[in-house]
Amino acid sequence: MNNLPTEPNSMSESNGMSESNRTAESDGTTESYRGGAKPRAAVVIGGNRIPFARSGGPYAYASNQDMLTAALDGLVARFGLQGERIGEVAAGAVLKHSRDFNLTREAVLGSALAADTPAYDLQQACATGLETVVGLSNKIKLGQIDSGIAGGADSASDAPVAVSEGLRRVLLDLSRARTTPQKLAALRNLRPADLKPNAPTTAEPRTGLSMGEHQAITTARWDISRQAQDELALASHTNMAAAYDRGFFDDLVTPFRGVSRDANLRADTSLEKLASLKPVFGRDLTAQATMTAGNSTPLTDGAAVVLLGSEDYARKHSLPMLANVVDAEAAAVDFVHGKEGLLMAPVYAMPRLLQRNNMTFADFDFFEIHEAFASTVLTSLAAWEDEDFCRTQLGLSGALGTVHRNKLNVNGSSLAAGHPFAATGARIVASLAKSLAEKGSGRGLISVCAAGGQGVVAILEAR
Amino acid sequence: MADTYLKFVNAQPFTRVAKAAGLPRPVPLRRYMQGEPIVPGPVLVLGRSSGTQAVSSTLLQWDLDVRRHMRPKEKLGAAVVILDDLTHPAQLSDIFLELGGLLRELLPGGRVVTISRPPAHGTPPETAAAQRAVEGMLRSLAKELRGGATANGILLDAGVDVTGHSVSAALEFLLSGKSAYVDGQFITVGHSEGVGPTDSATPLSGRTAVVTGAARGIGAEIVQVLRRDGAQIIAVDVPAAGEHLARVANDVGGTALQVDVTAPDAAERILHHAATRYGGLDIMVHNAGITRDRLLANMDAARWNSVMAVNLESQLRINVQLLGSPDFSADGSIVCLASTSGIAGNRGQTNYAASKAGVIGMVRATAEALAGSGRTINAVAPGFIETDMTAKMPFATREVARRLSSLQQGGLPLDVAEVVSFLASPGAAGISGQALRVCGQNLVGA
Amino acid sequence: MDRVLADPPELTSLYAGALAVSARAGLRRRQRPSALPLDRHRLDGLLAAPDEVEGFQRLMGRARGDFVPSGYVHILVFPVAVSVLSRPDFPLPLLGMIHLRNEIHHLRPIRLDERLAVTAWVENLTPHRSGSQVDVVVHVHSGPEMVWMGRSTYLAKGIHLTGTSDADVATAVAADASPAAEELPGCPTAEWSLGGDTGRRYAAVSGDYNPIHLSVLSARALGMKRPIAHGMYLASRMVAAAGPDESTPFKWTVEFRAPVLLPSRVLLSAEVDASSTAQWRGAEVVAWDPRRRRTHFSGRLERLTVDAGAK
Repeated sequence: MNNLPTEPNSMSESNGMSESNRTAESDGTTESYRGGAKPRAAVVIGGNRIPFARSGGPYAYASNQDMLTAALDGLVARFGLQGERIGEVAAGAVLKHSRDFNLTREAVLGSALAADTPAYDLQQACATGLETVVGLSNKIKLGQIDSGIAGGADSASDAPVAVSEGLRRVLLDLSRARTTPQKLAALRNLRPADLKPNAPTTAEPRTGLSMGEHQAITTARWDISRQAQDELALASHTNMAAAYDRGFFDDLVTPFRGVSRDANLRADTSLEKLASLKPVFGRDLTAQATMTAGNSTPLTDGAAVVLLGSEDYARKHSLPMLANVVDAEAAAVDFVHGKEGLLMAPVYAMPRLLQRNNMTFADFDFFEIHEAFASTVLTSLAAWEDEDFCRTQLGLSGALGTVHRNKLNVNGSSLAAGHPFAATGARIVASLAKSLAEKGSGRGLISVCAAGGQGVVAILEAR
Repeated sequence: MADTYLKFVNAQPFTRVAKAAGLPRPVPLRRYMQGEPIVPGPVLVLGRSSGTQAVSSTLLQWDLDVRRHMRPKEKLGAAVVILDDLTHPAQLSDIFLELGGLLRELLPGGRVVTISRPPAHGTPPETAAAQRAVEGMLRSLAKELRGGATANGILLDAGVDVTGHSVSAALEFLLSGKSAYVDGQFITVGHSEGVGPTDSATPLSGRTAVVTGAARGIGAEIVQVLRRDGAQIIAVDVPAAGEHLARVANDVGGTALQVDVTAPDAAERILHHAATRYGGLDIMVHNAGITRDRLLANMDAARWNSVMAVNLESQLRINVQLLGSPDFSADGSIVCLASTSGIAGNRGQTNYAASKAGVIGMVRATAEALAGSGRTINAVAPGFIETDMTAKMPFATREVARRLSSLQQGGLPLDVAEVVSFLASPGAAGISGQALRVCGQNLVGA
Repeated sequence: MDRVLADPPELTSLYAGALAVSARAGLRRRQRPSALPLDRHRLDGLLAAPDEVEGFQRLMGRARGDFVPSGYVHILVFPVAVSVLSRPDFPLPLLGMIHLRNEIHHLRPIRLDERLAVTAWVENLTPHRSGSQVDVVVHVHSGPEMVWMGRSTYLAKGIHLTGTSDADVATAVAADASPAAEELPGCPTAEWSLGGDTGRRYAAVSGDYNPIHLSVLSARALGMKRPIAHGMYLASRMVAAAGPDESTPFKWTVEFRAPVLLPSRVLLSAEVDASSTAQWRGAEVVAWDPRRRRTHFSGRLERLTVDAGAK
């Protein structure tokens, strides 16, 4: 019975998504308002992650499950959730072993949470973490659950190495074979080359191009300079190092396996150092290659989770309420046929989200644009500022607007922290919610691009 | 970390060899187990004062087998000697000789507890002589006892009666296995306030406690014991220790708070956490501490300053904010970890000893300021405790350090934690400004 | 005049025969015929093997459907075409011939269970800058209806037949684009990583064990430093990547330039004219070697309207 929404009629059907939600505080509680119904608020209570580390580094022998469990346990410790039944836990991993088919539930069972906490896996590439936040927030808003933990984990070190197609078929035939001659016949089909395992790649299945090569094309198309990319990378490192130094991450990160800060973070990097790096992507293009290991995220291991709840839940448990999850929008682009850049989907999602919420960039104090590559952020910014692009591609009457750099990734982002694909969304949501709570007012925008030409954007609002 | 020697001499064939060779013969100490009797056998109450009967009644209420006289050859669990009305050293002879005649019957893990008064200002010389004589006798007796038995005393300040709440609480603590590694020490009861020992196995229930340096070692053990005794736990440690901290917090259903106690806003963050999540704070255990050993001749500023910052200055700063905050309860208690190094000194530890002696000074001064407020502050000074830190000592040094105490062994983090929990309990409300040693009566120091 | 084959010819024995012929030719320096044979070879009742189609589609990265993929039809009919090329009266040596171009009309979807009649012949023997080229034409019928027709152009390097004038040669040379200044697309839309086993894997599904594709050793025997990818493998993958689904009639051409040595990395630019797969209208594809910056092949695919078929 504790799953009833705060207002008995808040489960009645919403009549659409067109109206503004800028109404608030009629009855002392801030409720997201849409159409006729008034769903209750979904609140970010807090977050936890393990420090991120480059793949093959300190977490080389940690599995997705190990890392997700550690992230959950740190969250449990931070908020005293031991033995607590959470409404639902949703998380995922992008690089996933078949043995991890029930990754999140297994992590819950291995954690200090109550064993009767349900869980499910979700995967939307790099948007996995953000999408779990969106999904669980919606369940909280609908009154289906009172509390939820969203997040993700990814290990590029312990990425699944698959057997070759040939070996797979032989093994399949072998398991079906009943007689010795049949088994021998099956084995006869095995060729030495089949024994070579298939290492995972970050290549897009439909194009064979790595994400970096895709972004290099977009970078060239938008004519993003090397210098601008290096400057963004530098800002990410210095912002994050400063945030660590002022204790910003003290209640967002729990050390893991002896690592207490993101191992990728280079507090001492400089424009000179970044400028000395050789380009690694886009070297086959006619345009000059500008993307280096310094302005691209490395393959990273890590896990992050966010605790969400209704206002009632937070109050009942004396838990903090950092920010409300207001709304979110997903988009996808046709990158397969080269019509649009692989990582450009958030650019398309953004105006749809803003329009639905009757907002503009001026309504936001923080912008968290996931730094898959420095140039991903810069192409997004450029596209939103480009009148012609906004007209022809986004169907707007003019440019969407300018994101001011002093509001952008103020505590660093993926270039500094690293980017364990499914964990990034939860990292961003927790950090942004804390920034909003510190400020005490305002809103934040999140933009996360994802493999497969997808992207998710979301709005958080201070309380 | 395992005391191999202790196991070795307690294995049958070797016990006799050790005895014949006159080697130290440490025994496993009697430690508190929930549900076990407070003492392992009958309790003899010796004394001529009117308080003797009162103490006997108190002990009877605890379902103990209380005697005024022992039958021949009967084994003895503990002896409580009531000496609260001494006026002349001649009064000691009969009572101590009677005690001495019974010591051979003291069971392993037995206890001798004296209750007496310290010389106060204006006390006549004979009285003062008799009162101090008790201390000399007891400290020597503690060194003579074997088989894990200990001797400790309770000192009653002026106006405190033997039946005072905190007197009973201290008596129960000293008789029980909780005081296993406290030996040759005196606990002074300053006033009669407090609620006395509760029957409850969870004297701290309803109390919220912060333990700093909680991720490992003694801090983690303090967390366990405070939780066992009923407290809600806020486990605090530096962010870098967060992984262990989370495990400690999850073990006891508490919360982990990653704060560097030397941060300027440490107290604010601790109090905010306690206030918003638990409605306030009742117990503050300053356990966080570091060592940066170096002979003074080789000492650098970084070593000196970091030790002072963590071990002493952080406590000073946090206490100021704590005591000025309405979120720290009116009957709150502060327990600070000091060290026998701070009492006796230790080669190579000028910085550490300075910080720990400083803690004792801070505790005394703060206690004076707190007198009558309902709040208490005490220090606990551990001696050689078996931790990861002592495990890294060179073998020979470690072996010598272990055998140098009257109990001929190192203590466990648990032993320290028991003292902390006792001093944080409502029963200890009449005890403040003390620096209680948990050292097995180490030869080092007084 | 049609010669009706009783059974599908065995490619391997055709190659073996060709090997023997070229060996004999080397010995005897026999005078080549200067004209093409006029006979058409016909094989009836040809049927796609579902297992092979599945293997083919897996190799191309597509799912097995209800229809025969265009590239697989080529595999199916190829032995008939080769049987023409390996006739004793065919003037050019079969082995070592270079695939220059393909033009295929896939006139309507072909169900997996349709029995097909295949007719193959050669025509258009013309001089080429570096030898002689010839077209192999294949028509595929299902009952009376033509469903697929293909024209493959091959080059026999270094074979200059008598009876062709220097003027012809000059024209051929002029028509050939200069390899010096190749204009490549600025951005790829895809990348293929072709392993050293690419030729063997395609051979396994196509049955085309031409030694030039199989291994370093066998390729060296035919004068190549490394094995080269089957032209039809590249073409079929192009169709799989940029083409319509198997139920859409379409016409596609592919022009081969520099061979793809194995293993290698190939970049592609595919401009697909489609807002979604269902409204596929066509595509232009260029594939190139990113290191040498040379075009491997280019292709053009376009949708056929229903009545644009057998013209």
